[in-house]
Amino acid sequence: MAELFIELFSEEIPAKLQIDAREKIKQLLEDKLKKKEINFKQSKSFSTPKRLVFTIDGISEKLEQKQKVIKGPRANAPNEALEGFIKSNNLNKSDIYRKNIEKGEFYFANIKPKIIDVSKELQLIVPETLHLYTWKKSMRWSNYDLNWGRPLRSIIAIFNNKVINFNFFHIKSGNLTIIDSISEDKLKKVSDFNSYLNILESQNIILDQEKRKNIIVKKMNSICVSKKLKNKFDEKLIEEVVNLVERPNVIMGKFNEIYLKIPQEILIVTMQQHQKYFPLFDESDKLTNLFLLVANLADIKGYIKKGNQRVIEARLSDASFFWEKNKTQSLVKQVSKLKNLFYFKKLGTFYDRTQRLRKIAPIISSQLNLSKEKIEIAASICKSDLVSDLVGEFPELQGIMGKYFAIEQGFESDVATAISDHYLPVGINSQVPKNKIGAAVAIIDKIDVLVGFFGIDEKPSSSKDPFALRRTAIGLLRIILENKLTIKLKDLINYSVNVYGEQGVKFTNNNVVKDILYFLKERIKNLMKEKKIRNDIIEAVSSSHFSDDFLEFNKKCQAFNKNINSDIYKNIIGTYKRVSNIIDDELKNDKKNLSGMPESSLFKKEEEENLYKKINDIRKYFSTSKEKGNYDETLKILADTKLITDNFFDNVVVNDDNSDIKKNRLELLQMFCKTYNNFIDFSKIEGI
Amino acid sequence: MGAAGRGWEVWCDGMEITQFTYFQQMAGIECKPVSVELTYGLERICMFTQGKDNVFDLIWNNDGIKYQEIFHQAEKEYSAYNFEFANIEHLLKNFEIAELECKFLLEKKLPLPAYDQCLKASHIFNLLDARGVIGVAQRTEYISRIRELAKGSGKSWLESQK
Repeated sequence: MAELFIELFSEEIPAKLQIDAREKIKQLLEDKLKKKEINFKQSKSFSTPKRLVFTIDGISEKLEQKQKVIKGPRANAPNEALEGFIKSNNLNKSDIYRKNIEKGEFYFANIKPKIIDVSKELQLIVPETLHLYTWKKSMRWSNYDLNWGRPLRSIIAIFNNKVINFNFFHIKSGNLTIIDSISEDKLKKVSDFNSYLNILESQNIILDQEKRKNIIVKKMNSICVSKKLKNKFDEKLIEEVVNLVERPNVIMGKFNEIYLKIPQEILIVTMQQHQKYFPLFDESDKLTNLFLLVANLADIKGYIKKGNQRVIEARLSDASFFWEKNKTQSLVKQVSKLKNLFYFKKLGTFYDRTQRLRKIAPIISSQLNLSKEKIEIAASICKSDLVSDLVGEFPELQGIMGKYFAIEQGFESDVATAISDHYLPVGINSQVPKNKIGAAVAIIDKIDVLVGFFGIDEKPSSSKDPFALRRTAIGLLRIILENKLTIKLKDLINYSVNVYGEQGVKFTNNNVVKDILYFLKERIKNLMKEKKIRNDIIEAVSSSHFSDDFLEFNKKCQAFNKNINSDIYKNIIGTYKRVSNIIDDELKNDKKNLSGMPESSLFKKEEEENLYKKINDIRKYFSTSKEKGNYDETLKILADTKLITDNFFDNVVVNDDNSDIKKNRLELLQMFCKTYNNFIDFSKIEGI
Repeated sequence: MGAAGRGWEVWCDGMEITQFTYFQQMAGIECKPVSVELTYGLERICMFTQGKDNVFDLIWNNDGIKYQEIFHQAEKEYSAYNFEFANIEHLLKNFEIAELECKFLLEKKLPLPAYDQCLKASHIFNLLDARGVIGVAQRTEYISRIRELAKGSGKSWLESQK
């Protein structure tokens, strides 16, 4: 049994790419080995920013291949298929013969028993695996053709203590690892994974990411315990710093307490996002002026701590200066400054934008029965913070700063919250605004964006969406669905189009309303897929959905997905399928157009009359019913036809000798299907 | 400018001191060999080595001249111009003019002066950005316009070399 050891030494690879490569290359190696039927005990992968390491142990040195027969392509397949078959199985032309089997004539090959030297196989497998991996983001450098995450400098590949020789682009595999330090790089010879680990250990490099994580988390926790602080360590940041260092060293830093009086978000964004520090909280969850950072070196002279403290002080001092300056600048007065902030070429400035929102405010306020004044005020000032120094310095705090300014200036709390909430949701995991005024402003803000860009024909294409309109549309839908809002989107969109018109914005697209509703429908289908709704149900609901009521779309999907196996649903779908199968069969043999409008004068049997009457009852029901969400009554009425249709099929032969009568009966069945499809398009439902 | 590449922010004790970038693409054209760019940073490294909190306190030479004496006036005046006094209307017009001029020169197959106009447009865009008058969507649009000019200049220059 032998061990395979690979080290890929490169310049520093960012954490996310590193993790992906660490996991995927290992997987690719395993897959290759399995495909070649090379058994192994276990495989492991490790990484530091510069080192990607893979070890697989328990591999046998020789592989016994038993005799077997393998099937190739069809005898009449193109020549390339045969060549591919020969190549991928390492065959000779003489190994191949043709043979007839049940499905036709095929090529076969006899594989003779042989002993395979695994190291020879690995000589192919390792470089092939490296070729196979595609980086999410990669680069070229110097004069080389290789695309890698960051410049690759050397490859170690050792099997059973011997180098596996191969070339990967300009790099030749070997057994030397690079130990780099600030002054010079040294090369050290490696014989196996264990000797490699010893070399790293002597340099205080911790290869195993899990070990690094344990060291870091343990140290941070122990500091928290000893200082009576609370840890709320951001899991993503831990994952990132673990993969930014080789020699982790946790250091506690401190900044001047006076900065604690500026809004917490500023401090947290500065520490967490800009500086990659871990902010610390006291036992009552209050932010403190202490933080933790993870360095890649021991801080022997204390320079690392001092330097980091200097940087955070400088940043917070700027932020504090701007906070004092901005908080008293009236949000209302700032609105006119938005005249100098251009939104998008034909769509005016941010001032124009807030004026548009203010004009739509009364419509949404009456639809949702909310205070018109509050929505108007929030809509007017929701963009004012964009011209503040703080948002200039911290763009990620747009809205949040506006909220703080509004609170300082005595606006009502739901108006203030609406300023920050109207940007929500900012991503798939982000919350939607729960505050009602915030949700209302968020809705009209998103409609204004969609209408504007669709109006000037800046619609997203299949590959490009530079203005994130998909995200905007999904945000809009999520606000409606998650807050269960009944709103008339079409009216809002229409009104928004008019408001643009009043501002003199010329639209080149005359189908804005139709286009946006279609766009939203496509997005809600994706949302439903993410919620694991069956695909056929989504299609069935979508196919019969012509309104702007996406809450209804969602409810139908949920109801069907949840109950499709219950008796009443089965009964309805069964009845529908029984009817539609007959039409399908008939149309298969004889293409004719069915309008779904039977002539009652051509009915010959009572059962026809009964079914016709029943369908008309259902139609009447659909045209008057306002049932939403709870479909008990609709389901009852649809299920109620079972007896009548059963009777129809028991006593009426659709395939009558008289072709007019036959056609009329098919029309009756077609009418049945069309009527059912008012609810959802049952023809799309699979199974049963 | 149609440049694309990967690289690093180089940090020293919590401060970004420089950026090191590989230029796989310039003016939208794949490059081989790939050049590298080391941006700003001397001042920050000096602040670190001299242990200064303020860039103007850096010691410039052995005669005790400070960074302040050489650069402070420029910093002050350009800050006033860039952030307060640059005339937005003029800048907007100048951008359009530089763009038109660049396109015209590209039609006349004069890549070098065309590229000058592209740089000018890019500079004006930076000034507009500093004045804080460009929203996120508008920013994307300006950048793509400048990229088109850069691409055109690069393509035209390559053709002139054939």
